[in-house]
Amino acid sequence: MTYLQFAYVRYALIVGVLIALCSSLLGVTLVLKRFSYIGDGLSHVAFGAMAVAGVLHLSNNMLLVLPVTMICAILLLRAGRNARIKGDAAIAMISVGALAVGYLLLNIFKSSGNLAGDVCTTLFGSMSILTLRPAEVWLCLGLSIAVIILFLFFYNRIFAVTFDEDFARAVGSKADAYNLLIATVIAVIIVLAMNLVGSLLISALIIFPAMSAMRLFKSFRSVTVCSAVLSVCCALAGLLISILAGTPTGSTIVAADIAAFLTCCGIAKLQRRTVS
Amino acid sequence: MKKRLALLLALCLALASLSAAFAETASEPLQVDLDLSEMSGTIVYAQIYNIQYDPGPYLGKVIRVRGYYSFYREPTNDHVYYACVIPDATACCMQGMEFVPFTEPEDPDHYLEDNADITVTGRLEIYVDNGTSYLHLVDADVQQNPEA
Repeated sequence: MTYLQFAYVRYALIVGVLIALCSSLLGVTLVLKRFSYIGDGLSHVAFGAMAVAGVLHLSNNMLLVLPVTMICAILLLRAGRNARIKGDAAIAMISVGALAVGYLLLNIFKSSGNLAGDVCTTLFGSMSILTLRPAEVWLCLGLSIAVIILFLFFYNRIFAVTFDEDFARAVGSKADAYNLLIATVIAVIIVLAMNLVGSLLISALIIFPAMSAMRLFKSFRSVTVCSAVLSVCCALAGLLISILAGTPTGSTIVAADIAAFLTCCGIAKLQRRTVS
Repeated sequence: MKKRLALLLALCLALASLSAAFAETASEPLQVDLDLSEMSGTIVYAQIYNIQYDPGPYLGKVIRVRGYYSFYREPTNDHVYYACVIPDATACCMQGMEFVPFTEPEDPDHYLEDNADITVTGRLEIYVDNGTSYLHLVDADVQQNPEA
């Protein structure tokens, strides 16, 4: 409790919960659309964009990182269907390409004496979540609320596009527009989540809660709700453990997600045994 | 003559007791406003980062911090800097808190072993060097922690 006297701990808890909630909402859609790995690819794009922003000495790197990540998300989700380079290959190419170019730029145009530290912080989150400034917290708050409102407002359309895009298109739904919306929201979540767990561990926030919830529930709504609850609980547990035990924040949150997944698998197995 | 000697002796005694009293006052433990020595590494690193970023609320406060001893001698002016280095949980980033020992070590090169586990207690102050502002803990009490 004594740690709560520090403003940055309170900021971390607020932002952590919001990011976990947002990422879990879209996680279910991404897993069902077989785009689980898109989070990883986009986070590497965000890393590359962050490196470019650093080279350009932009005071607010969000101005570059967010649009670049959004464009790549749209390209991957929209072009993936018709492009010559198909889904997983496109993600892999963009992912490693952006990572390599980002690291190359950081090395060529060194802007600080601690390059290894800067790279480590961006890749693994390190202490980013505990060093947030009030302006960043407000930005995160605004974007998270926008994501939640969009998800709730377009819940039925996202549901339709997630399960059967062709059917949704056939009955007159603007599937492309909703895919664009999903891509935009994913990009926002990725950029936000970089603060929480770093770019290498973002996929875990998107995939684990959804996969855990799918072990226990079958309907889209219940999976989404369970995924959101699990994600928030794991983020809180991970943050608190990392603060109390002095462990790296990002990987502690992911470890909590893994533990939740294993627990859900165990419960699901017990349920099956009971039924049979 | 005897009177003068007695007076001189009395003066010496008074001075000695005064300096002893002063020394006692000076070595009295400082009232610590922010004790980071018992907190987790994650919090200590984040707190030091936040102090460096926005020192205003912490200036003049007595801070206790635990970390690794580091020492640097500026080759141009032979000035000696002492620091307590705090690594983050992933051990890729470090925050350094400069300190000025309460009593200047006679032999700074052999004051403490490099990377020794230390606890530093001192008052946070800001100083300007070559037009740049830096933070340091002044009147610092430095304790080497026993090896675990």
